[in-house]
Amino acid sequence: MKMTFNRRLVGSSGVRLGAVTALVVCLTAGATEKIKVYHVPKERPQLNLPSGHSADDGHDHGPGDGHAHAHGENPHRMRATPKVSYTTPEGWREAGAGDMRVAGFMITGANEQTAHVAITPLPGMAGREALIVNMWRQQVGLSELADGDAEKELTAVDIGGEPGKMFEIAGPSPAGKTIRIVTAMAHLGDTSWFYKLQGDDELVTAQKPKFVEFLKTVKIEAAPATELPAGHPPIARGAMPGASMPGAVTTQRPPRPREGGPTWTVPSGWKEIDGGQFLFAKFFIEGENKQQATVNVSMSAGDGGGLLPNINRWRAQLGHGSWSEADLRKNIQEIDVAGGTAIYIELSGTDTATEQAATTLGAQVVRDGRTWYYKMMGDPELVAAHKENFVTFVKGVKY
Amino acid sequence: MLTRLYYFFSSVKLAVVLLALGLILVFWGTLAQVKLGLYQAQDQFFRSWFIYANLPGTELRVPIFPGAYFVGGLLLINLFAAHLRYYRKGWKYFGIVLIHLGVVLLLAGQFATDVFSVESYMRIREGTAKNYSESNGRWELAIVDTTDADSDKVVAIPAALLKDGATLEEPELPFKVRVLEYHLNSMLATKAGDGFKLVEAENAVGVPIWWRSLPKETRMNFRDIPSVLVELVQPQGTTQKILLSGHLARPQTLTVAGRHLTLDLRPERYYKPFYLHLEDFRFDRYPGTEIAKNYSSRVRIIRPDTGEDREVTIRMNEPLRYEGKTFFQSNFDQEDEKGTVLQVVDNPSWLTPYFACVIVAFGMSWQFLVHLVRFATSRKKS
Repeated sequence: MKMTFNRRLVGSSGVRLGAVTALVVCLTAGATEKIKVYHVPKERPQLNLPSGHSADDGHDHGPGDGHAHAHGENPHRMRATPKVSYTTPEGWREAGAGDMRVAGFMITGANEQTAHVAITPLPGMAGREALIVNMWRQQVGLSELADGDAEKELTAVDIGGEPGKMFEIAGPSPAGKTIRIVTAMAHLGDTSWFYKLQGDDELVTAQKPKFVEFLKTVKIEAAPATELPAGHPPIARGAMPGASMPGAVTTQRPPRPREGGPTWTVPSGWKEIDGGQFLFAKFFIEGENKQQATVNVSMSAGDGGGLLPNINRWRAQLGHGSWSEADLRKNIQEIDVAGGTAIYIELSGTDTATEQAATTLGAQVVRDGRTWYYKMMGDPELVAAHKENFVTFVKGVKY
Repeated sequence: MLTRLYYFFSSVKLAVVLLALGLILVFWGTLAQVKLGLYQAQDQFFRSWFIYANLPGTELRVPIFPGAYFVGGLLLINLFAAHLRYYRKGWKYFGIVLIHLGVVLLLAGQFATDVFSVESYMRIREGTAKNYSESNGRWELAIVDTTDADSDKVVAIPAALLKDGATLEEPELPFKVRVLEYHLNSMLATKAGDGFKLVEAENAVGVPIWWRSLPKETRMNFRDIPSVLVELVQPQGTTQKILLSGHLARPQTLTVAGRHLTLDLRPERYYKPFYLHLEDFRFDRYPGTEIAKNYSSRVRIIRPDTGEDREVTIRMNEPLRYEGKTFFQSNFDQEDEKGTVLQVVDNPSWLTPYFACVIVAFGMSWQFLVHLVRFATSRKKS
């Protein structure tokens, strides 16, 4: 077939220009990133909201209105947290929940001085008071204290009728101002509750008496059994929407994002639940008579603060005093695990949070510059029944 | 010169070379997914003009092979040019024109899909509603003014603008945002460890936080979680350093000049003028087994501006098409099966492949009939 050359079309510069322009427009479209500004209606997860508003709805309840607010889970992120109630002191304005804190307040003083108060629960900090004091000292550029000296900084304080501890530090902020931080803490079960008043030195000093009075009004109510930690779904931002629909079975682990990590076989009867931001994994076990136990898996860079402080923390949770290094050596065993050995320990006592008899099984595995802690704690009978499962689980973990 | 170029771009040789390059690209890009993961391989091989590599022993990146945009773009030009060059008038050739038009539409449509389509996800718990979906890989620094009772004003800064040392200004904000340190993928800790650095934020998150950078995630079931340390600079010079991170579950709150603000580093949001309220999620199994039979979400579409309020069911192969968007059943809450994850695809050119196929089929039928009639006529004459 003879091919012809359409000179009229080729010669048309308009056609060429148009084609090139269209191509360039197509190829460059959407390539720029710009700041966007827009209005959206207030989030309404529940479309049939009752009239009035909740403590979390972003409305200003007015400073010092005197009534107690109850902060439950933040509906926007669907996270279940224990309920915290308190009486807001006069002059404090609620700033709502934020990141890890369950409640916050803003305080404004003269000369644009500001301070804020935050209530933050964190897992696994009991028995680490010296470390906590030093963490805050580090934040304001102060040198670290020896453990004994750090503990001398702590004074007793009443937090909602429970004994708590408080310390105070002052130092320069990165902006060059002098800031003062008053921190109170109380350990309830596995969770340590921190109450922090931080801000301009003068204002914080003036607000401290109010802060101490505020602490007395705080009440913490555990999350209902149907809420987290008993298996809240991973549907918040951590969920992996890109994962495909599972093919046949639903027994797979919840798709929580993890930064790599080991793989394991979960023993039957263990149910994985959300362990929060600082546990690598958490499992819940329930016995036939409703006895309960949990298994925590945590990972720390380096030595994770050392074996002795961690074991002493576990001992403190069971109402025991601290061990010395020699005591520790007498009571630990070594067990063989995949690729090496692990430190294993069994402890019994009374759970200081529930005042019920409890047993703790613990294991420490050091791998590739990281330390993994496995801890089963709960009803002695249930823990004894799952001891073999626990040891098999720890031995079977592949790093 | 122009004529030579024209001959070059319309040549069959060029088409063959480009098709061969395309084959290599698909083969290479597929193998590269093993190391790079799907999304990074897509970006490097198929959403790029060239594939780059470091010169051995240096940090200098040089193009080593054409990317899919280059090959596809040249193919499109080749197709246009060849059509112009070999175009002949007459009904006999109408089918050829249609076939070319169909293929051009297919190529252009796929390119438009790549450039303009947006995929996001909507996670809804039973009994709750959402009016936005979230990106799976794009993040934004959202500064939301929550002062007004009826609506929130959002200033959304794409994470791509969060470059170390950058100062971001927006007239709607009462401060400038200075980016001190941004990590595309990061890890936070409440205690010091190897490679971790104390975050020097003033309000941080209630306790001191340490952080470290992580390499870009390539595994399919993982994604990058960014963190950023920003400094808010008010007109009078007051500064405040704030840590924002995808690891933090709740936004930071702040009051500036009487306005109540929240700051959050969150997946990019795409708001809709309607709500989807999840009435019920169902995971049906074959009786007596754990084998999946069907997944479905019964949702209410609620549109406040028109008063629309109706119920629809989204199933695995029966997506909801609404307002130019397609909502696919994508995942669900595997812990208690009381939440759904819908994939939301906004693809303005989703119809182009259908039109292209119809046009090509019509063109081929036309050509076939022309030849059939010609053959039958000549046979009758003989």
